[in-house]
Amino acid sequence: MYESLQIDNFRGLRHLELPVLAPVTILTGRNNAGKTSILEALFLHSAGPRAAQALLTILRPYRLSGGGLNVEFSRNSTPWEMAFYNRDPGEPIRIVAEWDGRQVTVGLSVPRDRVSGSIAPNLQSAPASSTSSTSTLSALPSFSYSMRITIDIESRQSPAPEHREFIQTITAQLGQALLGPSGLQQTGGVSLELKPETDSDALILAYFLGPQTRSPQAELVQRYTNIRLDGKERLFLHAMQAIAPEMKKIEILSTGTPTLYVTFRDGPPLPMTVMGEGIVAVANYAAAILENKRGLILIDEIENGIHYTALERVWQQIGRAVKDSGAQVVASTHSYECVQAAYSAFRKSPNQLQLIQLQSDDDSQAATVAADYDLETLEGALEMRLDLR
Amino acid sequence: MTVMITAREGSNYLNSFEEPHVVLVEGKEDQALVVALIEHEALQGFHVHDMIGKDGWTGKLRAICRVRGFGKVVSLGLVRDADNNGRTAWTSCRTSIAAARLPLPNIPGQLQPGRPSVAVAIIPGVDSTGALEELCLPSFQAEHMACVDGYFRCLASPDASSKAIVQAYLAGLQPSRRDLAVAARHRALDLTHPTFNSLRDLLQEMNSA
Repeated sequence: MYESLQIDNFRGLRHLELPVLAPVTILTGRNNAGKTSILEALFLHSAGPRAAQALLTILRPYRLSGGGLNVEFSRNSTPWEMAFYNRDPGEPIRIVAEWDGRQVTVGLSVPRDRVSGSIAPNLQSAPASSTSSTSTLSALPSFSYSMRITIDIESRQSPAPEHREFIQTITAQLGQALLGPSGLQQTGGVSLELKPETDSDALILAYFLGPQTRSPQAELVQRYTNIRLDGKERLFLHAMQAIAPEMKKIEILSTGTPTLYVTFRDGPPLPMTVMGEGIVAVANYAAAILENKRGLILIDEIENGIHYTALERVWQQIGRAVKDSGAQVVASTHSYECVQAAYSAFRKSPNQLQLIQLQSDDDSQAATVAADYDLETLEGALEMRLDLR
Repeated sequence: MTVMITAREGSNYLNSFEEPHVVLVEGKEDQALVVALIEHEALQGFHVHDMIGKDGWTGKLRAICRVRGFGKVVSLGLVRDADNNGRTAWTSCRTSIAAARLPLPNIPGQLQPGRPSVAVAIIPGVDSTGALEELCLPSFQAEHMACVDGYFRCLASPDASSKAIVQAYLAGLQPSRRDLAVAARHRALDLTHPTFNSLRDLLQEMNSA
């Protein structure tokens, strides 16, 4: 389990320390405070040798465009840059975690020869159909961008620290572009290839669930299958009943593609794909936690789609699932009701819940600091109506 | 704003501390009295926060330390009722302060320097028992109190509680006041009375911090 975290030079976070992480940790804070960045940092850290791949999947433009990556084609910038503080890859990203009694440091840096390939030769050789102001390129440039990943593990049991280092390169091939007065304008998607493929496993299996990144149905079916094989389907059903108490049965049916179906009372089975956002969200959470034993579940905006009256029951079921699987949950929220519900659900489990509120530093407004609330402190804050969001 | 008041019933969430001096009290009556004293003394830059009772101050104080802007607070005052034992209340406050890793005062009513400076006031006094009523009773007009005493003698209840005596006194005011909070808000208390000196001195000291 992650016990603490320190993040340097990642996204908008110059330096941030989270001294305590619990089996269930809630992140709060204003917009752009860094909640999602913490989830992403954990995702990168857990990926370890696969951090470059993980980084590609979490780069925001990638997630928002639903598959395409808005790569800036320039010899002076790389697509990795968006991950670095102030977009400056001169300072490495460093994520240090206490994890199961070990200190694990994952570093990401861009080597000096960070960009290979160039626009000019490609453009010269590219046959272009010119108009008065733009040229459509048919042979398009490709660029390679390298990333160095370092992993350092120190353990009390082992006097010699372990050090591993990898360099991976993405080659980006522009699909379609125009050459205009302001330079190269990307008009199509970018194909990306990451090499060499790493054969090392991630440090910890992590699932990242957000409003825009719910698991595809096939993944949900696979996770439910594993849950079923593990005999934990009752726990999954109970979790679903937290948001839909009238749900009686969950099964996988196939009319071509295997799909999760649910049955309400005596009605016919209905595919999960037609269910409301809240039900799908809880299905994602429960499946991820129950299936990913001792793994890490990262949930962005956990309250999305869930009615406030169901939040306490959902948290209770998350607590049960976490206890059963040994997974760790880190979730962000903007909702006071969600925090209140979490407190109510965990109030008899003092070491299960931690809330971390991200704030601007009182001395330096530019810096972010973490205010951590254990259960007793959280109770006091809620009773006095302190703003925890 | 001279005095900011929070956590009163129906108030909004406390988002941040904007004032350099913060006073923590255990109820709305204490809050009203402290605010009245601050305004009476024309002090500036105070935030008086109701901790909603005397329970759970350890968690609550830790939570207070995490409110945005707490890092800029210059002085922090904790005002607690003595109840059955002023020394016990004093010790309880010190335990909470230590748990919150704040500067620990050694003498009641005196600021312990630090960031922020911290002081504890036990009312009516650290070697006394009682609460706000015991603090305020000496300030009530003697001739009116004779009538209140007579009233309880007439009712054959010579051991009336301080709370009952205060309520009878406040009910007899023109206009009548429901409780000490209302009386304080309407300046129906004699805030120049020496009974308030220790509290007044603490607020003055905080103001000078």
